[in-house]
Amino acid sequence: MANNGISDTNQLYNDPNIISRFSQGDDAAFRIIFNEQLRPLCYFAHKLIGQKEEAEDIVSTAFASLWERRQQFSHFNAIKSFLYIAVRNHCYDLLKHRNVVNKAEDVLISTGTTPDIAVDARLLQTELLQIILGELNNLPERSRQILEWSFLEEKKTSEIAELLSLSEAHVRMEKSRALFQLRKLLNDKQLLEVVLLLLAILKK
Amino acid sequence: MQPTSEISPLLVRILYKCWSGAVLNSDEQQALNEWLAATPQNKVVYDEIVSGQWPVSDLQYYNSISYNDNWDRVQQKIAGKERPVKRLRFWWAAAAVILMLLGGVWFWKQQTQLKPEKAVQLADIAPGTQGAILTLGDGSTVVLDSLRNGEVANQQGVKAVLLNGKLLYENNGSANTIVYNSMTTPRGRQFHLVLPDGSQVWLNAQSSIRYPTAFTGKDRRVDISGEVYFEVKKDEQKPFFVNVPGRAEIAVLGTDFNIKAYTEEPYLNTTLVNGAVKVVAKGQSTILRPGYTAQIGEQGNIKVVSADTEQVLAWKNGAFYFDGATLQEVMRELSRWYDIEVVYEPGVPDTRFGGKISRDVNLAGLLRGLQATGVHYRIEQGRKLVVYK
Repeated sequence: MANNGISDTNQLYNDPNIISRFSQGDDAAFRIIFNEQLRPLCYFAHKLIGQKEEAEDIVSTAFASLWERRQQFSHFNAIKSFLYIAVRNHCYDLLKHRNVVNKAEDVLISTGTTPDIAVDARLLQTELLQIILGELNNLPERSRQILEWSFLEEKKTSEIAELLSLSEAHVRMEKSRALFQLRKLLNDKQLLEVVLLLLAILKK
Repeated sequence: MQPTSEISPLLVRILYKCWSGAVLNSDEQQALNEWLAATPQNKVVYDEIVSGQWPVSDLQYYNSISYNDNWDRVQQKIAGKERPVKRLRFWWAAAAVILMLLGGVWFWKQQTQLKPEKAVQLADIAPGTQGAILTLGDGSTVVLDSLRNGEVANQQGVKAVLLNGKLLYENNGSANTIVYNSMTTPRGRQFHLVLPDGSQVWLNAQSSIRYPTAFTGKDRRVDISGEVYFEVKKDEQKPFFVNVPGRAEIAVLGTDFNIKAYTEEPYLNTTLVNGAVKVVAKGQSTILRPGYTAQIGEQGNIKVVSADTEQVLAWKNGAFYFDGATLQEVMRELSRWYDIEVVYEPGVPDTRFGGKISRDVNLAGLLRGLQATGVHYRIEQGRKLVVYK
């Protein structure tokens, strides 16, 4: 499974006890799961409803109800499915509500867009983003550093060149080579894991 | 769940290949075509992924999602769900406050009898009352504190009538010129008004509303300041807009909401009780759901948080209702209702207050309810309240 390449979330996979600690009410284990899943879930919700604040509100509600039901979970995939399904359902509710509002107030509020209900497409996109960010970690150190600086921290090529004492042309070349490598790296095994989980979520 | 299309196990791989610019084989191409044809939204997402801009285009948003803020939010929600227990404790606390309050009044009365010199120090201040100043279209003003039921003004066929403490408008249908009236509450007064369209408005202390005596245009527009609670009468033909000049505009249909727009408060808060409103500030906007507050900061940024509407509307129902309010927040409320100036001596600790107290008690009695370690109060001449260590 991919991690997001920013925080060190490998703990989740390195420590098999995380889930049992979580279900027994360990706050630190909950925080690890939270850190692992927060951004992808917010991204997914944001893609569905288009509002940052609402997305974060929906995701935090899902985490709160996960905590309430913590004793029911013995496997990480079950936790992840639960979170995505809870978020998806809340997004549906919100979009339905918004539809009603828009209908009643179409004079007043024209959002100009039909509600985006491409749940499976957005789920795929969220997973794809996770994979790409996770793959960053498999690149050679300097390539990874260049990509993280330029994508995650949005540093300019000139800034990176200065940080690494390289010419801008060199940084550009390394960046495109790193991207090329990144695109080649993804292997079938990881994809299969992702797909199985997606199927589990979408069938519910 | 209604999947918009059957998801192929190949799709992640296919999309990854598309993203990376790899060539699809014929099976993959066919699966992709089917998926794209299934729903127009799939095409939207596909186009985004292969645009060459993605995922870079989304990373700024992605990285702006705060771990700590959201963790706090989750903890708050978990705490909120354990409400039954908390509520009970809270009501015990509230009961204790009221008991302390009654005890305080009793104690104070005993003291005034026994030690009259102490009573001089405790110069008291009466609570606010119902009342307001009505400014008519011609600029003349009517003080609505002590008037009896009956006609207050007649402006071009529209009568303003005072009935049991609230002002309402009676239109005989002949209104054709637009006349604007303003209702203003000073500190220490609140007032209930029925607008010409039947919408109900409550003004908290130090607040105002400006409105036409007849809504003849294609929409209904009012300007406000301070804190105002609205129950807007539904009229789909004429949307209702509340303008907080220079700061925000709230668009509504039939709906109940509170706007707290005191300039001395850090946020302009719009809290929705029923219906739907759209809050617009400096180019940003959000559609609010019932039970939520839109907080507009000084820069015009909007933040939506969940709200305890009972607490937000306590003022309208004759109570102060604090739940973790800071000393300064409490004092700002009191200064508006008791019309006092609050002075802080150095060294007063940061304290938070919880509890529900009637707004109908004298200041000294209320202060006895607001007990906290290291915080003392002294009422001085000239409606001044000194808070000291």
